[in-house]
Amino acid sequence: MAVAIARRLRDGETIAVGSVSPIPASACLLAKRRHAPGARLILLGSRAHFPFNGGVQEFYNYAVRGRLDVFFASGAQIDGHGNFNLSVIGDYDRPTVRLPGGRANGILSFVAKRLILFRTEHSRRVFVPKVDFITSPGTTPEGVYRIGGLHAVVTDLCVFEFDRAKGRLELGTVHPGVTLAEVESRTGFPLHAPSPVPATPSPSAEELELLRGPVREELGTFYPEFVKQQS
Amino acid sequence: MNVPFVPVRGLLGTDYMKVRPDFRVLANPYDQREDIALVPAIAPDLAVFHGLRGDRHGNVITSGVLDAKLIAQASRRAVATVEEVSDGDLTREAHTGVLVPGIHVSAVVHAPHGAHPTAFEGRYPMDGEHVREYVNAAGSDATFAAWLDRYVYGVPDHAAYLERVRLAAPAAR
Repeated sequence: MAVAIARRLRDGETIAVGSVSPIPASACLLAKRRHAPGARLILLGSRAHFPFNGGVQEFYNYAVRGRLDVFFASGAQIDGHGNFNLSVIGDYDRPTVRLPGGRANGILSFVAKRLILFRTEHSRRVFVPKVDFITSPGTTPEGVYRIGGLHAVVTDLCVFEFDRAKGRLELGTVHPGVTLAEVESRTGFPLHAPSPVPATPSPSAEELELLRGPVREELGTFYPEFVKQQS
Repeated sequence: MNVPFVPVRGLLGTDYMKVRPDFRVLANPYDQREDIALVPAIAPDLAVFHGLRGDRHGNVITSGVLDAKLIAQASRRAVATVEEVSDGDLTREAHTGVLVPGIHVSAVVHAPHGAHPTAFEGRYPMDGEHVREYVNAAGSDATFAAWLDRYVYGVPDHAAYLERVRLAAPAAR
């Protein structure tokens, strides 16, 4: 997943990662070391890659000015229209689970040029026909200020591309070893897939070496628990 | 700022606009083609934040990744807990964090390891074991009550808390 994300990041871009996002953070560190040395990284929690001293407020003000090329979010629920939910599961006032992700995403998903969702659990409880709560809508009507939005969804099985004109997720590639039938059986909305579906290119030896070496080491300085779990 | 609301770009099309009747929509008075969300100001009675050093004038140096200065300015009163108390005047000291001027601060409390079990940048990492214990305890009312008894109601003061979580008791200053 980290490699699939890293390959979407380009040299010279401004790329920000919020909290609890070790996989996108790995992708950024990998891209920076490999093909995007001029990328400007803003990694929440990192000392080396947080260029602000005015708190999250200063980052937020920077972001809402449209300065982020790429931003990341997860998604407790994601539907085929590109809506995602990071707020509550169930009824808003009597939820079965209350989630912490609504704070930023109802705003940053309007201003970051390319929002990439990552989710390590590709299942029907995540990829649902309709989200319980729209934390961020895939599309918005005319007259609403929106200079960015959903770009792609990267899971442990596949990559979806968001087609803004059609307002829906389209299956882009499936990861090596994963079948279309498997993605279909674990997705709660109808797939729009090209035929045949291309495979996500495998990570190269160089990418894996960087990930398992210097990227892992640097990630450990601000995601120590995540790095511990990976060993 | 003392304004009753601020316009916010974003939010429109999210379900926050449905569950928060206090979030409104207005046509931008300077560009009628744009709809914009309005959200009410939050004016807390009290802010509490943690800092690295505090002095007798209420000046506090804290981490630049926190919004301590913002919440101190937004609130009627602000209390800072700090790792160290300084005898000097922190407005005259070089530092790499953010200085929250004493005029915004009502009280400074000496509380070493005060951010536990979360991390405090540059000082100590998150106590992962304790956070896991908390997450497990939060799964039911009974286990959470037991957690509160052990770490909140069952400790008479901060020093006793630090002993309970197996951190060194604070040195007398």
